[in-house]
Amino acid sequence: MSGNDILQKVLTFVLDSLRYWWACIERMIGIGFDSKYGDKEDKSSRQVTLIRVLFGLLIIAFLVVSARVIYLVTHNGEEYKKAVYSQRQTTDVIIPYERGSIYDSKGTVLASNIKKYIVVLDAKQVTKYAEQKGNPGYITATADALHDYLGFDREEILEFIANNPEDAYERISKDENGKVIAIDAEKIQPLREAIAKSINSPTDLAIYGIQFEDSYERIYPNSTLACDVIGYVNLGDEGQYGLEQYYDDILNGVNGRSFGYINDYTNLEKEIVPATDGYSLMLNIDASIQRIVEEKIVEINESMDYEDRPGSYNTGVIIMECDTGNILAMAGYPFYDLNDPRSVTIDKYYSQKQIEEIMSDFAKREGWINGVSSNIFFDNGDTPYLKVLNEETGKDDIVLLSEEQLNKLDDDLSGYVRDGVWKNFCISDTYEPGSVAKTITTAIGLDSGKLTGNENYYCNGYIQVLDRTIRCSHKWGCSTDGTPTDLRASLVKSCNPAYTQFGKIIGKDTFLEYTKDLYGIKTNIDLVGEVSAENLVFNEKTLNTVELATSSFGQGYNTTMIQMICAFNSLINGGKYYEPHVVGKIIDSNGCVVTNVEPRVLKQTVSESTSDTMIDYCIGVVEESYGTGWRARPAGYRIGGKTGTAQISGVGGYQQGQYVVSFMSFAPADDPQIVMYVVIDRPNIADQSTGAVQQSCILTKNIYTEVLPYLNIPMTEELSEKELQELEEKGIYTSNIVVDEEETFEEGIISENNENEVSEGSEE
Amino acid sequence: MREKKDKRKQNKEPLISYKGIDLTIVFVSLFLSVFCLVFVYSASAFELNDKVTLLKIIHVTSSERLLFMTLFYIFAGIIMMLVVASFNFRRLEDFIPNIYRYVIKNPTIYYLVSCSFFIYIEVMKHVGGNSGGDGAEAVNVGLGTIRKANGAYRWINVIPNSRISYQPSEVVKLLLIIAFAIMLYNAGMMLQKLRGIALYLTIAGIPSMLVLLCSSDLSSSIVIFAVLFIMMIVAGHDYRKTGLTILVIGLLGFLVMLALIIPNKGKPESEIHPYQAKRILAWIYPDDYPATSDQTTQAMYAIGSGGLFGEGIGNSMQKIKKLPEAQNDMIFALICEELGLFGGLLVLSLYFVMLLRMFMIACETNDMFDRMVVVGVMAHIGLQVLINVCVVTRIFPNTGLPLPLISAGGSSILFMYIELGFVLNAGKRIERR
Repeated sequence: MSGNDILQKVLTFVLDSLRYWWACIERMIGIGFDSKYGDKEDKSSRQVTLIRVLFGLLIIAFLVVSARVIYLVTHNGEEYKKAVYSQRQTTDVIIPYERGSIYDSKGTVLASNIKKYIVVLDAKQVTKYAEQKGNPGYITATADALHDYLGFDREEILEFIANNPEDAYERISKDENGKVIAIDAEKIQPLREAIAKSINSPTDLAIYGIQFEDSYERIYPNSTLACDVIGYVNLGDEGQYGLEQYYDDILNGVNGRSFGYINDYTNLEKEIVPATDGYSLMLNIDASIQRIVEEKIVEINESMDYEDRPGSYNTGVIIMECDTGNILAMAGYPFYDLNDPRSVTIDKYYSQKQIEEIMSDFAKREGWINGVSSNIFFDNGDTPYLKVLNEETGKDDIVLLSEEQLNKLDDDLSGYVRDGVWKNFCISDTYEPGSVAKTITTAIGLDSGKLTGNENYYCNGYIQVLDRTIRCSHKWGCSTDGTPTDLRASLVKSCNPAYTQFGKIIGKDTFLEYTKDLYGIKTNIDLVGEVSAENLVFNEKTLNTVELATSSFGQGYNTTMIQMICAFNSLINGGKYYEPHVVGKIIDSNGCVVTNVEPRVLKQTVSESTSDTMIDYCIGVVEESYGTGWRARPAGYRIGGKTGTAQISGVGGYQQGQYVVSFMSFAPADDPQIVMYVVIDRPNIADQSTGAVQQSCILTKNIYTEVLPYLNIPMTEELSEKELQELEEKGIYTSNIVVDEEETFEEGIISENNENEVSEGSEE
Repeated sequence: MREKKDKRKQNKEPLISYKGIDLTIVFVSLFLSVFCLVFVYSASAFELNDKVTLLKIIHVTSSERLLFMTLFYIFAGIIMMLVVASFNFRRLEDFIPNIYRYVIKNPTIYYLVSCSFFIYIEVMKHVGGNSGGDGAEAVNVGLGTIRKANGAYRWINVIPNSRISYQPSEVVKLLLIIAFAIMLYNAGMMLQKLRGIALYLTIAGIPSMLVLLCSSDLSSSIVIFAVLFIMMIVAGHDYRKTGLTILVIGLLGFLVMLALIIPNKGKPESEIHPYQAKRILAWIYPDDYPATSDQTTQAMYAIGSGGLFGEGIGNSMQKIKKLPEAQNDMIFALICEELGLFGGLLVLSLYFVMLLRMFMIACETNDMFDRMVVVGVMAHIGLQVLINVCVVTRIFPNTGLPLPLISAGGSSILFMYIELGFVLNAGKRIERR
């Protein structure tokens, strides 16, 4: 095809088109034409079909749209509703509640709160204001104020505002680790004043965008006082240990809110939902008694300085009211500062020897030690090393601990120490109670009728039970003067062979029947961390001849202090086993009593007459010339009690030279009002086996000397010159003594006898 | 054939009409106007502070003024609708044959008038200066003859610098439907050939482009073109050629969208031009373009938070400061929030009933002109309803289209009623024959 042809075709097409278009336009305009085109009927039906098709599409579109609307409402409705409400609120500030305080029985504050402030930067406000006024100086003024009064970095603040002009809420008071902290009210005050002044001032640039958010911080005014009972509070009002954890829900309140929203008439409305403060606790514990107890514990621990670091591993004291089960004092040495619980470090609380022991225990558990060595060794602070048996040479190789092992050890140690210090020794630690349990055996015997009190037992120093030899603390037998011991004398002298016999007489079934009510179960004291020791006491299957023998004088099974004191309390108060209570009342923020904790008798353990006999026997322990507890008698009072020295069971049987010594007592003797239990775990003295128990007696005496006068219990005994002088030195008021002259004379002799004859008295 | 038609007529009997005027459409439109009054007032009534003087006599708040103006336009619209419905245009031929023949029946007049609105805007823009008006507040520009808001010139003042103005795009929709109905009535056969279709699309494209270029109103432009396009499809002679045209137009639209998206994707929100590209991107990635997608997000919050039966009339929270144009483009979201899913579906079904009646009229009429007018109005209402609801539910990118009869806006309401008047007129003539 030639070019001409193509040109011709194109031209024809264009001409045709133009002609066609012209015709169309002519027709469209309709001038001169009045008729319609084409076949009307056919056209019409075709158009109707098209309209129907289009309408069908329209129906589908409507359905799709409706489905979409339904989907939005049913699927996203709630979420969108929340979004609607949340963007309504212009400001939303949390008003913190105040956690309940803790008071002692006299109203002394043990735990409370102080108000502090978190600094909040409202970058949006200050940016907006600076824009409105057209003066960026307002931003600088804010940064300057924060820098001048609170020491914030000026550049950082400026940078933050520049980068986040829309951020209306940023907590900027932080510590080095970037954690938000509250600042003391005194530090905030100058800045507050400066802000108020700048806004009213005609010359200075107003400071905008700084707000202060309330925040409460827990404080313990008495720092270490009753630390194990109270416990502390973590960030976010999460109680840890003790009452703080046990009563966490009651102490915590509900946060309030202050929020503004735009109402239907575009006005900003502010609504405040006030915070509900937590309930406060009123304890049965008396801070004065608690303070006396803790002072005496520290005193005696400091005096026990045989080697290394002074003090015992643990010292626990519980004072309980006889007829209510209320805890008047409860302390577990070592103490820690509740205001700074995390400052607990290992060298502060443990001696080098103890640390090495703990580390070796850990190494054993981890399986690092396999040979002759059972310890981790230190040489003057160098890397600790292990001795590992070399099988070829038969000697120990020295192996240094690897970095990884050291880290692991470190973690474990700090955890171990913290936990060890924070926990409450009185309820969380188990130990073998030792001779104190003889009171239980005695009471069982008397109450069941298996023992009458007239038994005669001749002690020659030991008794053979199957393959075990049980020794009396008196090496040649406690019946040295030739007279056989009866039940009372056996208790007073704390004779193990005698009790082995008594246990046999009582028999397994009766023994178990009584003891299952007395120990091995939780007392339900209102504190966190009580252990039951359920698996550490004997049952029908495990209590065989040897176990019965050792159980009768308190060895072989474990209990906790609180279990022992509750059991003992029931033995001397007429058989009533009280549930121990630390909290006496729960009061709301207005001081109204919400809950009054009433004394609760859980069970009757022994009869009243048994109880009376027990009181008599226990008085003998303190007052008889051959009694083991004579050192515990406080000046001016009569008390009863029972000593205990128990071996400590560990890996490979009883530990050489390690003892738990204790003294269980009640006062005054005639009409017991309080029961006290003192336990010293591994006292740091030269010979723990014989001399240790006197430490618990001395501690008991020291505490009684001050607590009994404090409780206004009248003195009944005459004071010797020396005692009077001592009391006067301590400033204890003694003038209320009513003394019968005859009695005074007799008692005087007895006490002198005590001093002279039984000074070597000791026991297992 | 005749029998079939008789049957159709019999089916139509039970439907309500008065003197041949279809009452279903009348009442549905009235009902929608009630919605209009209630929700336009609800959307603006919370603004108390703004006092204005109406006709220099009554002091009212701006929301009351809006209510009165809307009420006025609704009344005017209803009267116009009834007049147009009952007026027999063909009778004019008997009285003024020449004017009827050369003016009233002449599509060129309507067409040129339509175009002249936008040429007027373009001229005034250059003559009178067009500074300001880039914000939401309407500003008088061009010697006070036209008004500008959001950078678009959508209003012409009746008297320069007065408060009374009209939206030419609404007027033009009506005029063009009539013009093209007449054109198709006269020369529908041109659609037999592809070059005829090309001619039609060119003629239809010119006013659409004018709306877009002079008035910067893309949504109206699309609606106008789509309405005329649908009229062409219905009048079309050849299915294959029609289908081909649809394909080509669809492809072109898709390419335009791609051309808008691709070069702008990844740019920061404030740097994207034109704003249409921003809106399309915000539709696809609502989270990446929060400022642009905010209006739709707020509308969806409003719809979702209404629940089944809504917060109660007047209790919407979103209308306060959060949902822009609550009385206008976003009124469907407001209805859904205050009346719940129930209200939303009620409105949709009212529109559907109205469109169903129009569909029946379009099917039954034998007059080509009437059919084309009815199809045009149907397409106009249907498209605007669907696009509006799709926008508030994020099925489509955001475009500013009012909901017919419900959204505030005098010209929109008035001319929508006049369009309905033409539909009723067509419906009346079915029976008359």
